Amino acid sequence: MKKVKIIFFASLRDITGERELELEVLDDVNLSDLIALLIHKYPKLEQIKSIIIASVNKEYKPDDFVIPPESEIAIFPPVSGG
Amino acid sequence: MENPTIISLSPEPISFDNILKAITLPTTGASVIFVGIVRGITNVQSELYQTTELEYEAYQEMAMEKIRQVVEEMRTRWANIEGIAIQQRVGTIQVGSPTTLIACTAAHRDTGVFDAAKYGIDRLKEIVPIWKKEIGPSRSVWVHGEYNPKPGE
Repeated sequence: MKKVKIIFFASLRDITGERELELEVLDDVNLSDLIALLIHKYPKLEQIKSIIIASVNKEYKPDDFVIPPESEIAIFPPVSGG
Repeated sequence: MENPTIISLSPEPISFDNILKAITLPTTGASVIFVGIVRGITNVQSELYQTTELEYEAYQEMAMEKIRQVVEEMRTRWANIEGIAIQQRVGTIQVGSPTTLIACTAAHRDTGVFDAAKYGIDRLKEIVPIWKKEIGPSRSVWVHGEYNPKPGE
């Protein structure tokens, strides 16, 4: 098992009601596994799962990227700065 | 002389004069400055809705890294650009107030400064993790962009 930190931003924080949390996940968990796990934990995410973006340690990574232990994963909608 | 870069992500108002001075070199003869402003009235499919303020939130550390990346991308594409400034305000900003600034300087106007400034604001809206919530008299909604960043972007 490995520990990861999850941070939610903007509308996804409102939907989950959660700002950040720590999770213990299996060693071979990749990014898409983790998002599936979060959707299971917060079923309201299901309605907008097609727009969920995730970063791993502040970088955009492919879905099959295996998450390193102690990573910081941010979960957010498409950005809208400017 | 080294080409100056100024970036910031803070609630502070944008100081146009100071920024322009800081990215102007003795060789500079042109500058293009893009400024984003909080729009009070938006027309969506012929329906008007009102905004009173915007609330900006950022994933601070990643946003600063991605702004630096946007600057690098601008410099790679337009080698003649001299100074670059990218400023994004966060927190609550009232209608009519500046929210963001992208500024480029160069020796002449035909060096790519216009394109570089446009590229800068376009990329900021694609890959920099900042979000805004539109607050109006009757509703308050998070704005979602349209871009899905590719791995490595």
